[in-house]
Order: sequence, then C-alpha cells, then structure tokens
Amino acid sequence: MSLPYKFYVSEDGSYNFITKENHKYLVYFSESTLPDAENNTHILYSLGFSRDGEHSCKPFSVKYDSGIRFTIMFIVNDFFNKNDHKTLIYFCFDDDGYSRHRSIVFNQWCKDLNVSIEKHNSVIPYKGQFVYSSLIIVRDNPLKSLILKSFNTYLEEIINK
Amino acid sequence: MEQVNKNDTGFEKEKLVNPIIQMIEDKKRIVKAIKNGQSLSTLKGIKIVASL
Repeated sequence: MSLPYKFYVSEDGSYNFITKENHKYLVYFSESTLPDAENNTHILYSLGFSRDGEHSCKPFSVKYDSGIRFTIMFIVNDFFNKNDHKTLIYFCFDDDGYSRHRSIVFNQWCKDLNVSIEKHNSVIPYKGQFVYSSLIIVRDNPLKSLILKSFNTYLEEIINK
Repeated sequence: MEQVNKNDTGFEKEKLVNPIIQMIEDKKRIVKAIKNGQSLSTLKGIKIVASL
C-alpha cells in the first residue's frame, strides 16, 4: 500500500499535492443544498479534483501512479470521518469524451472508503451531453431515505424535461 | 464543449431551480476557475469546504 502524498490545504479550502512525476493535483469539496418534500434542507458536498489545472484527460499521457488514488481517497476518507452530513456527489463531465471511463475508475476507487456507504450512479442528460454522477451516502445516515427520494425527484425532473 | 455561466456573480444561480442542475453548474464554474488559475475563493455563491 502506498503512502499518501504530502498535501496541504490552501487558503481557498482546496487540498493540494504534487506527485513524483511533478503533476499538481487539486482536490476540493463544494457545499450544496438539497431541499426535500418535507421542507428539510440537506447538505451535499460535491467532490472534484484536477491534474495540472485540467479536469479532462488524454489517454496514456500520464504514467500510472497508485499514490494519486491513495492520496485522494485518503482525503475523502478524512472528509467522511470528520463531517457530520456525510453525503458526497461526484460529477464526471464529458468535455473530452471520457466521462464514463472516469466514472468507472472513480467507482473502483470508492472501494478504498473506510466507511460503509451506498453509491447511487446516474447518467444525467444536460445541455446535449451526459453527466455521469455518483451519489455517495453513508449507509447509516438517518436521513438517507429523504435525501435519496429528493435526489431522485429532481433527477426525474431533468430526465423528463 | 464546456458549458459555463457567463459570469461569476451568482446571478445565474438565482435563475436555476433544480438543485442537481445547480450543483452541475457550480462544478462547471469551479472547473473554469481552476483552468484559469483563479483561487476558488473568488467564486461568489460557491462555498469550498475542508475538513482539516
């Protein structure tokens, strides 16, 4: 098992690390709200990360480095362990035609989570593209059913538009 | 093709209703900001959080 790369949290709240191949990674969580039918407002965190300022990728352009996966999932595990709301969403955009591939890879990475989670994958049609999303929620979250019901309602609204 | 808001003032945010769409648009603004080398703290209406 690799050790995570040393990372730091910058002033804007993003996590930063540099790999042995000198690629700069930036990991972030943005806060979003999800109202439900019972007038509750749930907090979701949208996870994202970039390499050298880009979210897209070119196949076979970067040497495989298991430390990247380990560091990012170390940060995500830490976030889950320290955050009360424990609901994450990860969107993969299709600007480079590889959103589905990224989604599959991320689903593999989720096996490194050290909390018991449920993962709900969706393909969201939006502005002529498909956005792949993974909603990750801690299995024992007492608000899980409300969050999932609300998310699925909004998802259907988009799909049926 | 990347779809982004025309500005980062938060005005577009008010017009969007579906929270999933809002999350997608927020991430698109973040993607654009990182590509342009902007600090994420400059994005009005988007709260970046860290656990450490």
